Amino acid sequence: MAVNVYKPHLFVIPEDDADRQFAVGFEFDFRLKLRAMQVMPVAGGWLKVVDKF
Amino acid sequence: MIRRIYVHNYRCFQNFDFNVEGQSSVLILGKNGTGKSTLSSALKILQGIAKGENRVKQFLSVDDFAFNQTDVPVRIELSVELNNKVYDYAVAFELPDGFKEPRVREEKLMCDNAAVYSRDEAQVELTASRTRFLVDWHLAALPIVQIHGQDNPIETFRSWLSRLVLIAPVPSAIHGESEDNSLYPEKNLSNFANWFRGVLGEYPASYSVIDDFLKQMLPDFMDFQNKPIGETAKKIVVRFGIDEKILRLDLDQLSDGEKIFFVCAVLLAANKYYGPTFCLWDEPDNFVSLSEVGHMVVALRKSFAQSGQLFITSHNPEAIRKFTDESTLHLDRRSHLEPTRARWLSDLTYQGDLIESLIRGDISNGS
Repeated sequence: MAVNVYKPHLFVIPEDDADRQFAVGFEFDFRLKLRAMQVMPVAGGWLKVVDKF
Repeated sequence: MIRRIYVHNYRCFQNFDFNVEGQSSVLILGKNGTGKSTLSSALKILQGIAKGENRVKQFLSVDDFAFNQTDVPVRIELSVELNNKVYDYAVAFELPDGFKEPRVREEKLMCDNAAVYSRDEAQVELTASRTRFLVDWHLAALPIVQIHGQDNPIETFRSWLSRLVLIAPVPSAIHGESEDNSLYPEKNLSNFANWFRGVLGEYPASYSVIDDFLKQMLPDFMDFQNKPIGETAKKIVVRFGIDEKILRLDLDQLSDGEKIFFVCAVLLAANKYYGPTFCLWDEPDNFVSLSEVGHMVVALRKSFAQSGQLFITSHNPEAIRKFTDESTLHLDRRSHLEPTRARWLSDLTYQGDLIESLIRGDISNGS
């Protein structure tokens, strides 16, 4: 099991490593349930984010 | 929690000094042989002293002196904040010419910048009472020294130090049968069942933390029992179920990764109920699938953000991605003939994605 696909969840595709670190900050918030969010590997550019999405 | 660690002339560490004040969780990165596990060994020395292993040769050998420099003392210093007080403990070991086993050269405990006791070779002085006495040079004084009073800084520091959780679990050594209770997990978790039983026995409310975490990691997990199998022995039995079907498995029958989930669950419970705990977990991602590693690391970081302090080492991309550059310490050394250098990743520059930079071996702590 990664995120729980039967419950509301969020996939984050970071454009670069700075965005990845922002996303980790949100994921780390104690109010967020475990498995409600998954940060994917860095895409390496906005166009690649769109492609992955 | 730990504010500063200093290690000198111990294995690959020389003048190894880093400040972790205010960091609830830290990722320690570095290539093989840069000293990630050695940091755990250095802390294990202090923990051993606090637990009463006070003969120096029990935890330090001639081979532990960095680069065979036995004419330079091994020095370990720790600065810790506990209950709004700062404790500074320093100990130095030496191996004079002609001696077969190392001995204590200096030792000192301070609380809020005031000395509690100090020791120079065999001479120990309790600062408040100015009492002086001699201790065998081959014995650390911390487990021996006693002072009276309710607010006893030696007992507070010693108790915290003895409860450090320094682990590198080996699933094949983890079994479900226990003979006793323990709040002190062994490094390889070979006494896991005793630890499990100790935490649940002393803090029954910790069941909810263990149950909650396991239900998130193992969707068909129902519950577990610690069944008596003899006069004092117990065995952990886990129940899984979907709809009406139920399967009972001994802990020993679980996979390596599933055993790691149990270790993580008990650690979360221990931190919540008898913490604040300091934990150094050497590669928690070992044996855990890629889809689970990130969630497990996030669960650990969240728990330790509430109380306690967590250090993990890792080579796993999913675990590494769960930390920011400000909470990642990078260890580096040029060769086995040179000491380890530590720098925060936020003080280093690398191009593009961190994982790709690590794969290329592009990250260096510089000159």
